[in-house]
Amino acid sequence: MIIETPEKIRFSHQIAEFGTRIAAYVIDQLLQLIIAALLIWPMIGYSVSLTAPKMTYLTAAFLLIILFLMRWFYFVLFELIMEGQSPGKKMMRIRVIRDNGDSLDLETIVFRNFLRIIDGFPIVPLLGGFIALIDPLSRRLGDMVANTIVVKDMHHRLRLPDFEVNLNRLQEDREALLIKQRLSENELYIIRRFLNEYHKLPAAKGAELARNLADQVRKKLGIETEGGDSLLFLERVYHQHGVDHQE
Amino acid sequence: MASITKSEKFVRSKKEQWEKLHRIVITLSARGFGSLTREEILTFPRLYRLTCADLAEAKMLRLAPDVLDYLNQLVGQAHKLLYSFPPLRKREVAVFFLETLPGIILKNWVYVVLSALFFFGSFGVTYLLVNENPSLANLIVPQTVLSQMENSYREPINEERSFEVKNFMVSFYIQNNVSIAFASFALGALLGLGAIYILIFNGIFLGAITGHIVGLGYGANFVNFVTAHSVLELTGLILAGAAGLALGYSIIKATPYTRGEWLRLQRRNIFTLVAAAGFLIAAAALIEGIISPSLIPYRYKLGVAVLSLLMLGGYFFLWPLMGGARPGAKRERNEAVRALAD
Repeated sequence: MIIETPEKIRFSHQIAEFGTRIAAYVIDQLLQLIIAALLIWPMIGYSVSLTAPKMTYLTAAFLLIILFLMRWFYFVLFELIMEGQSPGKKMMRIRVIRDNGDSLDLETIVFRNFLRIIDGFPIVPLLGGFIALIDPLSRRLGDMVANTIVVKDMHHRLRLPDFEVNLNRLQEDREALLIKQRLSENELYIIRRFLNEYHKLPAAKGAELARNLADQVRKKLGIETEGGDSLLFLERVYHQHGVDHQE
Repeated sequence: MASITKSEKFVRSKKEQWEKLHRIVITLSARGFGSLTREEILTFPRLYRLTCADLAEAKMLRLAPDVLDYLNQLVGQAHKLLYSFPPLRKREVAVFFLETLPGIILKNWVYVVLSALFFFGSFGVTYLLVNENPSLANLIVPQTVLSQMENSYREPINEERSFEVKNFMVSFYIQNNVSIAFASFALGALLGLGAIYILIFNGIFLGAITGHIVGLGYGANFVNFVTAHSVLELTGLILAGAAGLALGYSIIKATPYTRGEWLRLQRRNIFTLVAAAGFLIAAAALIEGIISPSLIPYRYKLGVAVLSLLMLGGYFFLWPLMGGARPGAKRERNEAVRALAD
C-alpha cells in the first residue's frame, strides 16, 4: 500500500495478512466474553445467593446492556483510544489506518465497525470476510465504506541501520582486489548482513553459504579465481566498495 | 580517513536529524503535543519535510534496504502524527449538537421522506388488509407472538410494574431497538436494499399486529400503551432507515469523484443521521419502559407524546430554519480550524 504525502513523497505500509486479522478477531471476541463475564459475575453471584427474583431482573437488565455495548462499541471504543488498535490487534501487531495515511476519526471508526454485522449477514454468510480475501488491499466491506486498511504496525521497531561490520580477517591481509564493476548497495547490504550474522549459523552451513555467496559475487564482478577463504573474499569486496569519508 | 559504503555515508551525515525527529515522534505519540517544547513544535514539520526529502533521495540512490525501511517507517510515523485528527474539543461537541445534528433532517429530507414512505406505506397497507381480512395476520406474524400480544392488550393496564421489571424492560428496549436502528444503517451498505428491507419488514409486522389487536377491539388499550413513546421511536427508526438509504445511494451514485472520495465526503452527514437515530430511540426506550406501562391517566401519556413532538419540531426544524445556533458560528469554527493549521 503506497501512500503519497502532501509533500509528494511516497511511503509504504505493509498490508496485514488475512490470518493475522482472523487471529486478532478471535482474541477480541474472547476478550469481550471475559470482560462481560467479569462484569456480570458479581451480580449473578449476588442474585443467586439472595434467591430474590427482583435481583434477577436487575442482573438480566445489566447483562442486556453489557452485551449491547460490547456488540456495537467494543471496537469503536478501543480503536478510538488506542488509535486504530484493539487489544487483539495490538497483540497481533496490526493497526487500522485511513487509506491516505491519516489517523482515524470517530466517524470512520463507527463506519468500519458497525458494518461488521454484514460480515455475518444471513443471506450472504461472511460476505465481508470473503471480500477481504479477494480484495488486493484485503479490506472488509466495512473498510471499503470507511476508506480504511489494516496494516502491520510499524510503531515498535524503528532502529537506525547498523553499519558495524566484522572485518576481522582483513586486519592481517590488505591485498587489493582488482574490481572492474561495482556491486549495488542492495548487494552490499546482503554481504553486510551475512558477515554480521553468519556466526549464528552452524559452522558447516555457514561455510557453505559463504562459498555460495562468494561464488555469486565473483560471477557478478567477473573474477575468475576460485577457492581461497570465502569470508575473507567477501570482507575484502565489502571494504573496497567504500567511498572516502572524512571523520 | 575511513572507507565506508554510500549507504553508510548517507546515514552518518543525516542521522542526527532523523534521531531528533524520532525523539519528537516518540514523545508526541506517548504524551501528546502539550509535552513538546516550543522549539520542538516549531522544528517538527521542518524535520519531517527534510526527512521526506531524504527518503526520496535514498530511493533515487538505491541505498541499502534497511536504510529505506528505516526512513519509510520514520516518515510514516511522523506523517500520521503531523496530519492527525485534532483531539475533540468542547467547541466541536457544541457545534455538533447545536448545528450539525439539528440541521440533519432538513438536509436529508429526501432520504427521510423516502424512509417514512417505505415504513408507513407498508404499515398502512398491511393494517388495512388485516382490517379487511383478519386471518391475514396469522400468515404474517407467528402465532405465539400474536397470542402474546392479545394477552398484553386484552385488559387495560391494571397494575404498576415494579422498579426492577421496568429497569429490565428499558434495557431490553435499548438493546433491541437501538440494535435494529444501527443494523438498518449498516445494511444500507448493500446498495440501500438492507435498509429498505428492515423498513418494510417492520412496517408489515407492526401493521399486522396493530390491525389484529384493533380488530379484536383492544385498540384503546393498545393506543394507551404506545402513545407516549411512539413519536420518538418512529422518528428514530425512520432516521436510521434514512441513514441506510443515504449510505446505499452514496455507494451507487455516479459523481465526478472516485467512490472512496465521495464516501469520505458523505461520512459526517450519514454518521450524524445514525447518531440522531440512536439518541431518539434510546430516549424512546426510557419512555417505553417507564411511562408507557404505568397507571397514570392517558392525558399525561398524550402530553409526553405532544411534548416530544414539539421538541423534535423545535430542534430539527424551527432551530435550523431560524438560522441555527449563534450568528457567525460557522465563521468562528472556520477561524478555529485555520488557527490550528497555522
